[in-house]
Amino acid sequence: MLVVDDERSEEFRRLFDDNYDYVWSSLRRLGVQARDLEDVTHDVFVEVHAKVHTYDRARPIRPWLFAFALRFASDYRKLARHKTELRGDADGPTELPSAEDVVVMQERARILHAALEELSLELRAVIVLYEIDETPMKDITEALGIPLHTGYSRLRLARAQCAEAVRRLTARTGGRQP
Amino acid sequence: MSDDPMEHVDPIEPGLGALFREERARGHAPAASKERVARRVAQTIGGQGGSDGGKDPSGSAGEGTTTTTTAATGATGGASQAAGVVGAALSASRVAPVLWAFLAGGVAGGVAGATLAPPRVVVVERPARENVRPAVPVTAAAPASVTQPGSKVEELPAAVPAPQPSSAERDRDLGRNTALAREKGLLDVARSALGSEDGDRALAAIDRHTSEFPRGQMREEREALAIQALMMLGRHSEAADRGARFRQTYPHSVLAPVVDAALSNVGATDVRGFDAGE
Repeated sequence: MLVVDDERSEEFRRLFDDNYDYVWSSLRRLGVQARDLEDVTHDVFVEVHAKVHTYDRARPIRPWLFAFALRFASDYRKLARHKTELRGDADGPTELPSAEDVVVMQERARILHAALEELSLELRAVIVLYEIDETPMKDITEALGIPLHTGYSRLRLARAQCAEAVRRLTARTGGRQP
Repeated sequence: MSDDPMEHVDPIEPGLGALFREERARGHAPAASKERVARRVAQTIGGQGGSDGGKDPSGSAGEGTTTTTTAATGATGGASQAAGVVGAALSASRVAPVLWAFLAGGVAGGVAGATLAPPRVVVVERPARENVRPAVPVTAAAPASVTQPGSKVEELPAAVPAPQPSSAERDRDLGRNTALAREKGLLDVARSALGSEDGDRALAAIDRHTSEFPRGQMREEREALAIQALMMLGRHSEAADRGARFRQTYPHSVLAPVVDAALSNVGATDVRGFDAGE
């Protein structure tokens, strides 16, 4: 018989409810393909459930969750079968209307994801947390277990490499610079 | 003038910033996805409890954390079919009432994040020099147990193919990445030495980086580390001079807060050469 106290279960339920989109999106931004997102998101939350008692409530929850997502995304990317097909999967299973402006937005999203795909995972984690999640650098470095200096350094490198990749990918596809 | 050191961080290129802002607005998973995963998580948690004789799955770190993607993967392909299978499984008595509550209230509730709020708005404390420690793997704070994603990947259609780089581009990228790894390795040595209060060793690694990569991709990081090393060795004048050059060369560096913190330890912030409110 499963022994789970109600308070902990309620906490996890709320955590899942409030942060499902965040974990799902973070995994996507870390390179997990749309078709595998549910599998990996499931794995993350099962692990979070097992470790939720270690969460320090004095700290923001999302960088803590991101560390789980990063670990699972890292192992996901190590699987050879994923490596050849990591690009061009920007919008996941979400179905969007086929208006022209949406097509343009999808193309811009695809370029951004392709550019992120060229970064190492450690650079990618910092730029996703900083530029998309708007997480303070102090919280980023605490969640990732790196010195503040390293966090800023990775942000700088990630921005430079990402900008270069966006320029190159945009030129290759004949599009305008974003 | 604010004390927020992030005000001195070089703003991101407008075009790139726009791409990130658009991406920020796309952070929603399909609603059906949430429901499917909620059911699978509940099933997995229940399965763990049933198979380990009732041990609390929280346990100690590293215990009771087995994930069951393999079992759960069978429910991936079709949502309705998966829901049926999982629903039947959940009817088993091993699933505690609290998990029923999780399913009933958690999936459809959409409760606003009152207790688990998103991260705070950007406010970064001025970094202290003791923050400079040897880098640790990014996985240090992450969970230990890892599973592999689903087994049906090969059966699914490939994503829309993106333009592939030419072989020359790949060679160039490979060479650049190798050099960057070498640069990073040298500067990691310097960082580690700083964390051990070994300024001489840090400076030796920095000098080596200067020699091998005079125009390296990480020379900005190198200069910031050099300033910290010089301060650690009590060579304040040299640190101040180098700090002034750093500010001239990288007037909006993201590393400026780190450099400022190092120099401010002896009140040497004037070397920045411009007002902080600029």
